[in-house]
Amino acid sequence: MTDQGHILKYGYTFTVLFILVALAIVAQLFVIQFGEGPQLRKQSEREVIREIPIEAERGNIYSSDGQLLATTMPVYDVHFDPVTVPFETFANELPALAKGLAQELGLYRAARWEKKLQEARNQGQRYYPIAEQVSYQKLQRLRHLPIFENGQFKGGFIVEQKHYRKMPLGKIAERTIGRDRPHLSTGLEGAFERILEGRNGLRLKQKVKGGHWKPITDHYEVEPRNGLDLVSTLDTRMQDVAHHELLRALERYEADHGTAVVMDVQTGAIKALANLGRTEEGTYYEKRNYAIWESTEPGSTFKLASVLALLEDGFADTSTRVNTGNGHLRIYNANIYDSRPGGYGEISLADAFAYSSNVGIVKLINQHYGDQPRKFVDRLYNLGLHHKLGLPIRGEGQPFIPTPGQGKWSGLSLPWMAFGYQVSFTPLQILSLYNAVANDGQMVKPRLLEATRRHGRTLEEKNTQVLQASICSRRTCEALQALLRRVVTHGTAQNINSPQLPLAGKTGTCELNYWKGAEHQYQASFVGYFPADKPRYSCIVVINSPNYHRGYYGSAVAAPVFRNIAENIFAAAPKPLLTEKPLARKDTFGRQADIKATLRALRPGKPLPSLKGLPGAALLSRLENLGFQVKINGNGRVNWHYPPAGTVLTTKQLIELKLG
Amino acid sequence: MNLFAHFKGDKALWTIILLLMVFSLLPLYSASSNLAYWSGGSLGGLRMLGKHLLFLAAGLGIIYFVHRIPYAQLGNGSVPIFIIVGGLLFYTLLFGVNISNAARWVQIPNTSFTFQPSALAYVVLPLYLARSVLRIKPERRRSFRRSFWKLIVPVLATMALIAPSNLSTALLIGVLSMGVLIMGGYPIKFVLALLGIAVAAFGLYLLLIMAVPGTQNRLATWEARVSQHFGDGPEPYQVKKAKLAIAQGGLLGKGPGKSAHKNFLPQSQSDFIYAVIIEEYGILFGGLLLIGLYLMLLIRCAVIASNAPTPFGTLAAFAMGFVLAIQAFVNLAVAVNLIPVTGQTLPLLSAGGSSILTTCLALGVVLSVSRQIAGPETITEEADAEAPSDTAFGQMSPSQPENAPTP
Repeated sequence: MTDQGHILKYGYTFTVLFILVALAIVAQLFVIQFGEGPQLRKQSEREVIREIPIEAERGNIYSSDGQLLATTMPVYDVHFDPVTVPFETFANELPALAKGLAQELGLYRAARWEKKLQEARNQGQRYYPIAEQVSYQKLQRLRHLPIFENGQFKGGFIVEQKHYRKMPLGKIAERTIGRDRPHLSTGLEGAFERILEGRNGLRLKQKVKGGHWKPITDHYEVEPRNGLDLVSTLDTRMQDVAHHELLRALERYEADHGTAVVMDVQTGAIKALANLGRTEEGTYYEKRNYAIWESTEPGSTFKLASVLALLEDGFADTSTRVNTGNGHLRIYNANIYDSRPGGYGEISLADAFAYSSNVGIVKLINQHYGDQPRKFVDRLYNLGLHHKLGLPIRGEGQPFIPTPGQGKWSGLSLPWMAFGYQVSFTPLQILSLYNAVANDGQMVKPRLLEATRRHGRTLEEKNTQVLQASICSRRTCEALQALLRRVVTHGTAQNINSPQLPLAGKTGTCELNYWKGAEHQYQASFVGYFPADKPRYSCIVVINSPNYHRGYYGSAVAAPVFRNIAENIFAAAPKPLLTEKPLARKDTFGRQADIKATLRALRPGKPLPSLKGLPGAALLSRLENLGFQVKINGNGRVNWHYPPAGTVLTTKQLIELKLG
Repeated sequence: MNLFAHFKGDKALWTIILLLMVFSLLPLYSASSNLAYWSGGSLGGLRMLGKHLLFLAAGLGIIYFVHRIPYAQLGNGSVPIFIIVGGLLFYTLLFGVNISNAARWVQIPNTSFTFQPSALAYVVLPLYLARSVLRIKPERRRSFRRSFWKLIVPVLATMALIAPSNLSTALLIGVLSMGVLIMGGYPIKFVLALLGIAVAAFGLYLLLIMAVPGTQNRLATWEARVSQHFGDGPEPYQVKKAKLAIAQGGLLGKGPGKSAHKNFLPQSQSDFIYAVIIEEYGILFGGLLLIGLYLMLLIRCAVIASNAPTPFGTLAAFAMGFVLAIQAFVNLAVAVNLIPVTGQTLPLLSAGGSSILTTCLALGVVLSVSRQIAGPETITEEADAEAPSDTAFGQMSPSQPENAPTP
């Protein structure tokens, strides 16, 4: 017999059971919330909410003349997932895609592309590299190729954006501008990393479907601060000149590497810093920052320090006589020779310096410091030469000066130091010594940073840093300036003497690895400043391991580079800038004087001289001042003109010039 | 009052139903708030909301329609309907649409709509059993052979048809059926026999699965779920996410639409909707309120059952209440990681037409019973012809369970 009572009895029982279940659920709810809660919430925040960095834009690097040296551009890596493409699409459109890739990217021919992609699909590759670092324009063209046009999921077209640091001016000063790499940034990029990179922002984001992140709030937790722009001291025009002059010399002498630095005498601003190293094929590129990194025995250029010591300590003046004899000096069992066989006989200190007589300088040093070598070394220390310059660019070479009684000090140390051996300096360290002489004794720190900028507004101008207020007395300094000038007018560097632009400096020819007795390897250098009477720029040129048979003397190999740089910097006309190869100099007007003479000869009523090779800007202003109508095309030097040479000019004549 | 003129039956139950329906809109509202971020401009969220509203409206229509029918007629109607459902289940087993490796759905011809016959079986089988168990004369119930075809076979057949694609639903339907049979006075030993046969059949079925290659997927799923829950391996992904979501909610919740976990919580709109609701509305306004609503629904069904004029009314009200309660609490228990993951929906809350419509069918039945509590004249009129002598009991207070003879 069933009645409602029976149903109700069980019904209530079951209802109570359900209520118990409900209570258990509530209890569990509280366990999760309050028992495991804190730990779960922490985990949840990790998985679901993140502070996503908002990348700050890296600042640009400009030259002091306003050219963009380094900037950040987006580039794209393209990969292909052939597996995701439907079979039919793949089979039908693969040849067309392969053809398109061959056209757009080259790399392989169409048939090979087809084979590669087919293989990738067969192997189940889902991330097959197609192209790296392509520009946006190229990316757009790739995007419209068959198959790719179907997008990522149906077309397997995978695009990742990356940032690429571009140097718009190409390889010029590449090592000095440097590279921005995750752990080892070089050059300016590395030196001023903190300034350039800015500070990444942070934004709280929450994970949403499809692996995307959605901002939680409408503000940044940390506002990203874009990096500042840097204005470097480099001047693209001078850099270009230094680069190409150095390159020419390196090519001509088949040297291993070389460097050329131009520095503003008063401010220490480095206007040009070229470093070129040789590849196995005999071409050159910015291989290492030799000017900053490479510490070598300087050779004769160091005689400046020796003479400075002699003058400053009052042991000699420029007219002090020294007998160089037959150009041979034996100290213990070692020999010192002068470069001129037979020697110079008895000469003044000034001549010994000008002719770079090793015997003369060593004799004077030995005579006055032989029994007190520490005095000489202390003098060098007083110059601050034992310190690194403290450049912001990483990797500055350590200078080395031996100390009496320490390490490998021997009886040969002092005489050898006198003419630049057994000590070691970088080109820039030597240059700063010469620069100090040019700067009337004040040694300034070479610097590469002119100012920092944000949105084109200058934030901070970098000041010149004085390393040594005075490296020597005014008298000594003036004497040294005269000595350096004399090297060019009467000494080893007569070959670069130029009447228009007075140069001053010192040659250096240093035998490398002489202790090995191996094949002759030399380092040819020239360091000095110009104009000699009113120094504006100092400059060092070091050419390492030129082909011995082509020449190795500092005067022959390095000094002309110095002169060309100096003249180009002081030439009235702007030179064609930043071309990959320097202009052929066949019929160019290399010298200021020639240019001026030709320009002066330009007159109405006179026959037109050949204008080929004349700097366009100078010519243009002259012609226009004379009242000619000028039609001009291109820039740089003249390589074609109408009317041809010899035509008698009339006023109002139209003169057409093609430059370049 | 005019407005409610057509809405007869238990007002409290109506109120609970409407509250649950309103509550069900919240998670969908929040889903549409994330729209811009993941659907790439398509109106996914809004379309879901629209679909849900449509189903709720249809569900209300079903409740209204069903509750106007005298429940005795509903009981009678359950017989042919149950046969139809059986046919549908059989069809689903053979031609069902696969969704996540389980053939549970039958496609409605010429539409994109799919329907889950097992959801319908949830409601129709208990109703059929309630009618059938009470129809068998008490003395004949003692004969297992006589009741076998009418009671045992339908239960076993339904379970067998559902089990291959949805084992947990088959199990729950079995439990539910046993409960209805026990309440209906069916001898407990027979119910145990039913259990024995079911277990034996299941064992046989497992052997069969393991023998036939390529059918082991589901088996692996069950195995994994159960061992993950009771074992000490890592918690399955969904369970972990659900717990994270609950922990995030706190007492007051993060606010509508702010759930972070719904984006990677699988089945966040159905199986794990409770976790998302707690994350957004907190334990107080989400967790306790919702479980409270279901408890009130269950208790209301019990009150209606106790006041029902006939034994069938009582049994039907309980059965329907339990149908909803078992789904609701199993779903909630899964969400809070009390039991292994099963695919039970949360009645009225979970997205999905089949669930909403069949839930409304069950609610319609209960409301139909409640409608007839009102006055004795209607009761005599519509009383169950099979048990006229029970009519008097229906009007009596139910506070005398001692009177009920134990089978």
